[in-house]
Amino acid sequence: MTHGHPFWFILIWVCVVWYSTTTIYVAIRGAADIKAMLRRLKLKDADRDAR
Amino acid sequence: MPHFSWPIDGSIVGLYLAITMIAGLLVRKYVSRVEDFLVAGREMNLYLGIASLAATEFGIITCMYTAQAGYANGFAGAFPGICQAVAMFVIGVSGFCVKPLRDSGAMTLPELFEKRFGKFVRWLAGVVIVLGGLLNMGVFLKIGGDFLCLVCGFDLSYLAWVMGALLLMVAIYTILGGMLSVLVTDFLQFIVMSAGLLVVTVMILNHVGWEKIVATVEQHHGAGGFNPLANPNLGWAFVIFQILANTAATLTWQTTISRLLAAKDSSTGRKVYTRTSFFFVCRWMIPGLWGIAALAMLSPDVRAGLADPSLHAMPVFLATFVPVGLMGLLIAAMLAADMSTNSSYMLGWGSVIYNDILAPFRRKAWSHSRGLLWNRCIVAAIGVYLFVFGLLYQIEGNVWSYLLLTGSIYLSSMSVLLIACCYWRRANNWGALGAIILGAAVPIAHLAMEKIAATAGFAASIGKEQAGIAAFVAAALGMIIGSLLKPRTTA
Repeated sequence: MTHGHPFWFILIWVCVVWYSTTTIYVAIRGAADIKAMLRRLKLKDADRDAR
Repeated sequence: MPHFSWPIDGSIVGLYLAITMIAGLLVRKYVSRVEDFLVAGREMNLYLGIASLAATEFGIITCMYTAQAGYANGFAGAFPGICQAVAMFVIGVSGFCVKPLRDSGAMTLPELFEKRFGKFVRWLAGVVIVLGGLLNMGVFLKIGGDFLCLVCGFDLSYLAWVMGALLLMVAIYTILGGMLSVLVTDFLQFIVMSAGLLVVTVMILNHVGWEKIVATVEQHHGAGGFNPLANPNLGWAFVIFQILANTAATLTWQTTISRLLAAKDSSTGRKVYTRTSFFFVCRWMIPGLWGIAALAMLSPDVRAGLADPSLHAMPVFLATFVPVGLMGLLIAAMLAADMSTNSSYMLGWGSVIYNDILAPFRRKAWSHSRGLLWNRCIVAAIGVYLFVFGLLYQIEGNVWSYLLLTGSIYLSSMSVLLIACCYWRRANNWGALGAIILGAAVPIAHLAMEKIAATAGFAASIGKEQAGIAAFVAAALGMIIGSLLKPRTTA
């Protein structure tokens, strides 16, 4: 199955599996991060205006 | 015939571009200070950081030079990715240099150096960083344009128009929204880019097949296609230079450390490093596989007819391999990759020009609105430079070697300065100046010799890798000798 090159065979499939999983996970958690970041920036701005 | 269909693939690309531009422009209202523009108010969290770093460090240029490495050197060509992944992981876990850097509160590396080595070193470090960074980035737009023309089946005479359109889209949201727009668009671009990369890779593994891929590497490269030390194009000098340069890039590459500096604290920044580390293997392995597949699937006649076979084979192969519909996803993915890279790089080098090179000219603190205006003008000027340089400059040899050598102009000296700044008490401004001057002189001399007919042969006989290693050695010697030569002041 690996045609004599198990290191590169395993590495390419680990890349595909790791990258797919990470993309889905980061897509979900990253969206929450953006919301939180914009909320904090808005609060900071309001705080600066109030001073 | 390329498979690009204007009604189907064009609509997919258009939809992606519209969503990205709207998102990039919507967040500009949150930018009211220079800190918001350059480091997103230091409010970046972990997962946004991972998406942004991954999207930034993968552009069309990356896809082209890693595919070129796969085409020209087989799997062994992916060795630099393994080096960088190891460096990212070790540095992220240990906090080596990056913890003191983030804890210092600096917005750029030279700002940290000023605290230890004085104002002139900060200014000179800024000049060297920008010089190396802009020479490096100067070819991005042209190679991105090459890819898009070839994969869509456009004539290369349309290259300037494709480059112009690409630049204009990126420049608009980067100029208006700075790092905040870059982070938000990077997130969208990471998802689109990843989807395209994964779908095409799985298609290649299914349709071309592992057996044919391995057989092609064995036929064209022999054992050297699997082991960099057995490859006559690579060898020990290549391996040593990759380890040095990729470690230095992890420590000092402006667009990488700007994610660390935009993180809300050093712990978050370090986690971004460790959790993104394996992506650097993917960014070499995946397009490298595309390059090998191009070698396997294109006939010798087609390859021989290409202007630059090792560079252009991959997009020409994809143009006929990827079906209509998926072609739209592939082009959207590549546009996403390129836009996120160009925007971050424009902002990264722009931040050093504003923060460090122009610092001595700001005798009084500038107002936030004036600072923002200057930053926006600098980003616009970098855009114009990219367009002109990309059209005029012709790379000698392969793209990755050029990028690494131009990067070495500052990677060598800045990594030495950073390590000395954080961990060597005897380091001083004499050593810092010695490291900057010697570290920059070697790669600049090599690049200049390549362009002069009388010395081009000599430059080629030295090789880019050896010149790069010499730059690191020279920078380290400059730091050590300079620091030891300066008389110690007694308290």
